[in-house]
Parts: sequence; structure tokens; C-alpha cells
Amino acid sequence: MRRSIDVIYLGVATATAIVIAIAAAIVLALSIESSGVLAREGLGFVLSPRWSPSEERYGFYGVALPLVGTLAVGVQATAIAIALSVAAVVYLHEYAPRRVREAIGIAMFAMAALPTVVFGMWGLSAVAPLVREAGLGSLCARGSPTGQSVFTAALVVGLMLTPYASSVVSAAYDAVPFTYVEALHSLGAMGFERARVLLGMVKRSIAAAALLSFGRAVGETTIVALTIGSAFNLPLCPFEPAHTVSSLIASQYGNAFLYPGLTSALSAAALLLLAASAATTALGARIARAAVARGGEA
Amino acid sequence: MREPAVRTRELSVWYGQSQALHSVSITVPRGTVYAVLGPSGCGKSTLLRAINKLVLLREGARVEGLVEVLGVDVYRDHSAEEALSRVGMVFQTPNPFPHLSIYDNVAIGPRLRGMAKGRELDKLVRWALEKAALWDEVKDRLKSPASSLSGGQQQRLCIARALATMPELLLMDEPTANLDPVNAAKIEELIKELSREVTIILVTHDAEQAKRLASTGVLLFMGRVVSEGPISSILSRSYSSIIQSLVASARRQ
Repeated sequence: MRRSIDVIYLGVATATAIVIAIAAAIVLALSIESSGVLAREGLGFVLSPRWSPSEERYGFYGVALPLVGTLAVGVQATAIAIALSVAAVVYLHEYAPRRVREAIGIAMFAMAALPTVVFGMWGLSAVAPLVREAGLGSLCARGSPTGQSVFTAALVVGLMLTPYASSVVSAAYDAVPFTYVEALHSLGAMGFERARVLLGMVKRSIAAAALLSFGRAVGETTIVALTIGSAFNLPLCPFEPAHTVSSLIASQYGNAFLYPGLTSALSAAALLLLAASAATTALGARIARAAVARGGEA
Repeated sequence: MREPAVRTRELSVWYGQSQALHSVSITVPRGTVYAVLGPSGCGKSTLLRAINKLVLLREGARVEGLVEVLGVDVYRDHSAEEALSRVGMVFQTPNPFPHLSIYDNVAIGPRLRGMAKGRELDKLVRWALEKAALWDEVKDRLKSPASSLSGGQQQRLCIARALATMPELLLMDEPTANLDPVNAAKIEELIKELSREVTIILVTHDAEQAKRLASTGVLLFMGRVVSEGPISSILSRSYSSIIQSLVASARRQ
């Protein structure tokens, strides 16, 4: 018995060590690969808006515009996901009959399991034409004629993230001790009034859901590459096409070997993305764990 | 003669297949402290929650029989909500809303019911905190979170929260059960004070506490009424007579 436990422990420890080693190897490989462009461009890599791989000797590589695009998509997608998930949680907990609650729960589960490429295809074939037909592009100076824009990407990513965010908010809402629900009821709070107070109690979990969603949104590649329109714009208006760091990597990595320094630049961009995504996800997970430790009194 | 504060007739409550109350009939006179006595699991809290309909928050809960609160059948009349707005409740474990300030905890009821705002609300909050004997201890830190108070203070804050809605009937579910003797004594003093203005139904498993505070009450056992009446007569009954009553009550059903 003791021996079999030792074998299981050894197996799990080895598997964990392999995963950590792979992650470390990825970071190391990206760091080595990106050192060339980082040494050449310095802070200009982050601050410069100029991205021009096809220079005669060595390209100019500045990711300021894709970084702003990443931030814009991340913020908008998170806002959409949090708004929809909070609305869904309030509806499901306060108003929906049991059967509707169960049906929507299954639909959310199925939605969470969909591959992102399916969301991306839907975004390209259904959401982008809607944005185009609605004439939203004409609201911006460089509005997208195809409907592919920062807003299109953010909307689809936001919808993709909604089941994920709502599961975090819903778990916290469920974890609010029943005595508070009774107290609110005894004070005459029903429906939305009750939800408003309970949402105040789980606001830390909502913040955690927002950070976790943001972490996933900035790293999302397939959906964004298909729906953002891939243009080097400063996305001051949401209906303009732009680039995010991930869409830039996805669209240029295939031909990177053709341009001197491009592989290094894209690796540096990936390293930046990895750091931003890991930082926000770690912070979100920490807040979520703290909220759970408080027994729902977030 | 005024109608009683609460009257139940043949009240039965089920949680799914499990029956928690069996044909309970009680009458709570106005202006008294009425004790609901009995051992753990006898249905005391269920009876309290059947009076203000909190029992329906439990999934699978079912109620049969009559429950009249302040003259209104709360399970059938359209004016049930208005009648229940005149009922406050204090729970066994102090449960102020931890994310709200002391002030906001007291103000939440009047705000939800649109009773007052601005200076009127300030006055009402102060009045409720004074009634709950808490004003002097918190008047300089009304904006502090409620979670910064001690357990006894939190329970008095919950009493202030209930009082701020100006209830005519106050339901108290073992309000001293989780407090130390000093804080429990403070709450008992408070109950005596409040009983001059509000009808109180006090759930307790402490016979001595019932004697100190209540004039009338009911003794429950396994969801059934053993006896109802003056507190001294309820508590003077022998164990064997309680068993006889229960057997007779079970045969009648």
C-alpha cells in the first residue's frame, strides 16, 4: 500500500516537474529569440508605433499600436463579458424558473466547450456583416468597410468569455451565506433589490472574474485574427480595424523567416503577451481564492 | 377587542417529503413577549419562518393551514406584503451585511421600502440605534464597516436594522444563542425595553430565558404543539404529561 502511494506521488511529482520545465523552456526560448530585437530597439520596441519588417537591411519593430489594440479589445471584451455574466447570474438566480435555469446552465456549459475557431468563424460570417450593414464603420474616421473591427473582435471574445466569467460570479453568488438572503427578504428586498445587495457582497469575485477574463482576452488569438481586420491603426474608435499583439503574431509568423529580425520581434511580442496575460490571470486567481476563503463575503 | 398579532390554525410545513410542523395552532396576543420553546430540531425556527414566509425560500418547502399576521392571511390575502412589511426579524447568528457601513446596515430597510431619505433617514437611523442601545458606541464611526463591530454589537446592530423599518411584530430566532453571557444579558434587557412598544415572538431553547422575558408561549416537540399558554404553566408540566399530550395529538391526526 505504502509503496503504491510512493509510486503515485513520484508519478505526479514527475508530471508536474515536466510541465514546469516545458513552461520554463518556452519562456527561455522566447527570451533568447527576442534578445536580438530587444537589444536593437530597446524601449522603442514597446513605445514606437512603427512596424516595418521590409526595410532593406533590418526592419523597424515597434508594437505600440498592437499593444493599444490588445488593451482596447481586452477592456471592451471584459466589459461585455462581465455585463452579460452579471445580468445572467441575476436573471438565473432571482427570476428564472428552475427548468429555465437548468436549460441555460446546460447551454452555457456547451458554449464554454466550443472551440474558439468556431466563435471566430461565426464572428467573421455573422457579426462582421451585421456591423457592416448597420453602418457602424461610418461613425469612425477610418471605419472598417468589411465590418471587421476592434468592436467586432471584442464582442465575439466577450461572448466567448461570458460562460467563463459567469461561472466565477455564479459560484460566488451561490456561496453567499443563506442567512443574508433571509435577512434581505425579511427587510422586504426582492428580485433586483436583493440582487443589488448580494452583488455588492460578491464584488471581489466580480473583480476576479474581470481580471481572469481580461487575461484570457489579451491572449485570445483565433477569434481576434479573424475578426479585427488586421490593420496598423491606433484604435481610437471601436469600429476601426486594428491589430492586437496576438493577431499580429498569427498573421505574420508564417512568413517571419523572410525578413531579418521579424522572428525575433514576434517572439518579443509573444513574451510581452505572456507576461501581461500571466500577471492579470495570477492576480485574478488570487482575488478569486481570497473571495472563496471569505466564504462568499467578498 | 384587537385581533392577535399572529394566529395560526392547523399549520403544517414540509421540506420535500419531510414534515417539519404538524397542524400547529397558536395565538400570539399583541403587546407581549411570546416564547416558542422546545428542544433543537422541534420546528421552532420553521414556525417563525412560516409566520413571515421566509420558509418559502427553501427549495421544496410547502405550507398548509392558516397563518394570520396582524389580521391578514399572509398566504392568501393580496395585502400580505403590506402586513409583512410591519414584521421585523432578528436571526440566531448576527448577520449584518459585511460590505455595508454601520449606517447603511440600519438604513437599508427604510431605503428598500422608500420610508425616508436625507435628514429624515438620518433621524430614523439614530432612533433605531438608540433603541438598540448602540448609538453611544457607534455614533462617531457610522461610516465604518459593520464587520468592525464585536459579536454583541453586531447583534444589536441587527436589532436596530429590524427596528428601523418600524415593525409592529418582531421575530427573534434565538438572538442570544451565539453570544457571551454579558452580551446576552444586554440583548435580554433590550428585549424587555422593546416589548413595551412591539410584540415579540422569541424562539429559545432556554427555559430560564423564557421565564425571564416572556409572559406566554408555546412548547413544541417534534413539530407538534405540546402546550400553549402562560409561560409558568407550560414549564411546570412534567415530562410524562408532555409524552401523553404528544400521543393524544398524534392519535387525533
